[in-house]
Amino acid sequence: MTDTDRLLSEFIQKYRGAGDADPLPFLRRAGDDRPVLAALIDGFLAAEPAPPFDPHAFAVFRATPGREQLVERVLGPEPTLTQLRREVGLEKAEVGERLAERFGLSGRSASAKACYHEIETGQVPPARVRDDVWAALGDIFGRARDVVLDAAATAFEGRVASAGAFARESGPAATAAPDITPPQSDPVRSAFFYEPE
Amino acid sequence: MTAAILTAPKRDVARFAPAPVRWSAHPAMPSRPSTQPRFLRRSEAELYEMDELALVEYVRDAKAALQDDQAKLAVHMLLFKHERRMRYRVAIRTPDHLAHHADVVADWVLERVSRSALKLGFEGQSVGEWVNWWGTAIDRQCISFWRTARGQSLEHEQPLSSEHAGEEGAPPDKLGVPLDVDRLLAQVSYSGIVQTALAAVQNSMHVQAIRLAFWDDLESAEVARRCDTTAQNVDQIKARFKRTLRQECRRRGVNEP
Repeated sequence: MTDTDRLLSEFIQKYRGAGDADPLPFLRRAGDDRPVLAALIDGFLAAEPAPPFDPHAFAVFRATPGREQLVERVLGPEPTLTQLRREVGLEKAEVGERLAERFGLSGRSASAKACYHEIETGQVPPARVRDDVWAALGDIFGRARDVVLDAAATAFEGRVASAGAFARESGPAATAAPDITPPQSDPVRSAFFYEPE
Repeated sequence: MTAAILTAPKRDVARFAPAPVRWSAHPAMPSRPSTQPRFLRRSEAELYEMDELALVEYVRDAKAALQDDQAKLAVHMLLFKHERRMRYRVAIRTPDHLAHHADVVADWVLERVSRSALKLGFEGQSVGEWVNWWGTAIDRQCISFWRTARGQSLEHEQPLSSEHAGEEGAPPDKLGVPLDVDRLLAQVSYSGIVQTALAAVQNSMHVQAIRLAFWDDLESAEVARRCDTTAQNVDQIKARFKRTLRQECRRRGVNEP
């Protein structure tokens, strides 16, 4: 048995025995094979079923400060980029103009509008959008960039769900951007998006 | 009851003569039946036994039936079943020098992954696909966190400017410094790495052996017995899979010790 196998086995036995185990101390012992052990532990945590139901533990869990507010936020409505844009009375073309100006893309506001349209309609995973774009949209909509990013994520997740792309989303290429955009030779697209993998 | 009636000598036309209608008192029509199936409330124990797909459907059904307390209960249950493991998975994805911030990252990721889960359509999906989706969602939200103002503040180990605005000696806003996205991206893609490595295994028996050996923590001899192969073959399958994982980690730039 290799060291990696041994560490994984120790972690699993501790996790199952105690119902809980912090993986970090095991990872710190893995040396150069830490990434492999991390992937194996992550795979275990992904698939391991929950232990038998403990009503007392659940009651304690529910009563933890902040838990109820978290649940309300999870269930609550969240604004979309469309709503944020309409709140400030802007059309997409106007957003495109402002973004083009911000990024020094004079004469290319139509392309900037098209890029913004892709973000607003959830065609691009938020992870592919450059940080400067979030900052710029935050300034344009008068909102914190995190609010803007969340609103874009709402559109993206909703699009994935409604397109029945559950399987596509969970496939090996899912962490990469979906290949629906043209190559990144366009300077406007390069200003907006990171390269897809 | 029909009756053929001859009407004209030249042409025989059959006509249907309707039978006499008898009216009788019928019971009063009930109020218009509901087109929605009745929502069935479940106990905590029953909710815990549901798989995740059923639990998310329950939240949706509860909301549709305006049973907000049940929707909240089901979300509590979803978090209860997954939160601890999700926090560990986020910790694995957090760079070592930022490990003391893992809980902050996990709070942010947990909320967004849970919210996304409630939006998914689950027609015809399997629990296995849920497991894959959950992992991908964690990968993706961890990436997104490091792009937020909060994430960049932590990454630069600076207090968030907006939290101290107006205070004497408040730090300047340095969040315009680009984030090393590639480095952080590499750190968080463990779900993608495992899924890619498993997808590369063509033989279904090998996939089963990998799951039994690594994630069920069975000895090679036991795995061999269950998979109708030899222990030596199981060891080779395991070694090959770890090699694939290593190669995939290197390809994605995950090489931080």
